[in-house]
Amino acid sequence: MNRSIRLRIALAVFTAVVSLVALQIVYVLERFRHSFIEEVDDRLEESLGDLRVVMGTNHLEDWIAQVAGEHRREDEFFIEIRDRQNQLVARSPNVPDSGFPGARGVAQSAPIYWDFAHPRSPNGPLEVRGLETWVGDYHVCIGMSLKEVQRWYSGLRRNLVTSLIAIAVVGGLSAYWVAARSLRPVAQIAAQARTLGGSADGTLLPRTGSGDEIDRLAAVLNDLLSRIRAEVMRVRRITADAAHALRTPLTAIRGHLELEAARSESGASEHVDVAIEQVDDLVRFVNRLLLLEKLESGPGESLVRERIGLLAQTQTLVEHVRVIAEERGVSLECSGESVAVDADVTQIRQAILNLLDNALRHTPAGGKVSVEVRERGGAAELSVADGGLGLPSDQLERVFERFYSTRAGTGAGTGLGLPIARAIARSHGGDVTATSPGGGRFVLRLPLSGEAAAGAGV
Amino acid sequence: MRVLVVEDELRVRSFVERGLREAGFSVDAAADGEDGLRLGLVNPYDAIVLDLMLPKRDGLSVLRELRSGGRATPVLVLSARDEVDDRVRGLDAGADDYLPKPFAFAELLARVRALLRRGTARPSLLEVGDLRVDLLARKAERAGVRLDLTQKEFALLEYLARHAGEVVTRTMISEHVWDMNFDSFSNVIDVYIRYLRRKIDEPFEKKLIHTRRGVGYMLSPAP
Repeated sequence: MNRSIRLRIALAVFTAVVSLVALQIVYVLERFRHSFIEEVDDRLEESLGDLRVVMGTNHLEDWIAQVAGEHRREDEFFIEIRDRQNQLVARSPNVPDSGFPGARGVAQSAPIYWDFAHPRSPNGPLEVRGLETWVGDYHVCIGMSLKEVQRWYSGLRRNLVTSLIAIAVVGGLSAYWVAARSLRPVAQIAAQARTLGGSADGTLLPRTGSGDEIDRLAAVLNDLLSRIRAEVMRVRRITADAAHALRTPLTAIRGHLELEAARSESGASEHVDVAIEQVDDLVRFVNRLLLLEKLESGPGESLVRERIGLLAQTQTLVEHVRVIAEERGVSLECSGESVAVDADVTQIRQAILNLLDNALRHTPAGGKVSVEVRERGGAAELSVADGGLGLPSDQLERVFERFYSTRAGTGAGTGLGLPIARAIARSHGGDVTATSPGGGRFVLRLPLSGEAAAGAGV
Repeated sequence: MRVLVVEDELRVRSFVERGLREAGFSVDAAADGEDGLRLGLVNPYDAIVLDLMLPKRDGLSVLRELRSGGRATPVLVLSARDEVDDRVRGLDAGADDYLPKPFAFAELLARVRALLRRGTARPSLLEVGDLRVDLLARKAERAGVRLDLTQKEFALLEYLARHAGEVVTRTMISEHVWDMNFDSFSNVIDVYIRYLRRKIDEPFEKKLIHTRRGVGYMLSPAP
């Protein structure tokens, strides 16, 4: 997205610069042409003044020859004089026999200026500025070629257009550069925002400190982020407090129900038994919620770490739950290589059991659950692939949200198993991620033994 | 057997008191730390059930005072589950066992009984009705018929036999037989109980393994 903004800014600057400079060029060229033609007109007037003097004298032919010759090199000079009977009195040799081109034969003596193209120029039509008037009884047409104007004009135009292109290119590029530069914090913010975790870490978006719009945006977003975090923490605290508060009454309810169950004769206590089972479900739920709170509220300082073999632990647990897989008609395989990790064995077992539980729940009878342990990319990796329907890509992250459960399965969990597994992995400096190559595949990653300390603070 | 219960929560204290009484214990109860300490120092109890969060004087302090007062009475500490530190501090201060809240009363009862049994000789042969469990040879037979058990089945049977006549919860079984807490897989135990029943009870008319729904299991010649 920032790429297109960069490009759009550059294009806008480019267009603005080009239009402004082009307008300026047109204006300058017009002014140039206008003033030069004024100059030409002045010289034509001047020549007309001279002509008035020599008119009627026998110096006329000489004068014509002189001015025509004088101007030959730069500005070609044309003259034609006719009397009232339209008889030719005199003309310069460069005027064609057909007469002065474009002459209108004005009735009054006031001068009329016009532009015409001279047909007899060797280099194609020649632009000429002409003047037509009456001097006494004679109809006079004089003209000057605009060769010099044209030369200057085209030279100037070439220069101006060249600089226009240069300005446009430089302007566009620098606009692109400036835009890219000022949008770089946006890219950084986006990158940082993508990595921002859910909650506990107080990471904020990077500030440039320049106080510009983007920096202010980052400040506003940080403020928003802090408030959202505070709100999330508040909600979590409420949940934790509620879970805490539930424990004593739950203990009491359970105790009284048990006494009731023990007192009544066997068979008569059906309802009490059901009630006890319900309380147990509630207790399990509350305990999981509290465990999750504890794991997520801070990095695992209370972890009792020891060096454990991940494969051996996994194999033990797989054997423990094999009976459940058999009951459900699911085949359970475990393979891999020995990998040592530094971990709290109780917690890691819990995480592995949660992953196994999840896999068994989502695998139909006749399906297969494959567990594999190996070292990969400098970390210990335990993957649990189930034979279920798999997950659409938009749910791969959502399954780690609390109480998120959309997968059809055999019996609903509490919706806390996967979040707990992930929280445990994260408190050990690792993670649990989901992919869906056919069925669901959950991968638990942990730092290798000896490396845990480096990654634990994350 | 005389047991002292120190717990400020009336709702919890009342059923613990009643339950222990119904299990045949003579029970004294205290609602705060001061009261608990006074009773504990004065009377010769066989066991003390002590909550950690108490008014006036907290449980750990009560425990230290009891121990420094020369009382070696076995103490079972009650505390909220997530306070792992409590467990460590409690055991450091001289507690003999720890039970996290919320707990099942059956479990409290079993743990209190275990505390009282402490120090008594453990027999190597357990007999429940016509069932004989030889812990040294790791063999079991019923009515003279040898039972073919897997290792896990035997371990489960051993645990049930050690607590014959008492209800044991799934939590207790998983902690002692599997050495872990199953949480989401507590039905593993149900499956093994079923396997065990198939071998121990199915061929015989008299059933030994009894289900206490919502609580746990009991091995007993009487229903």
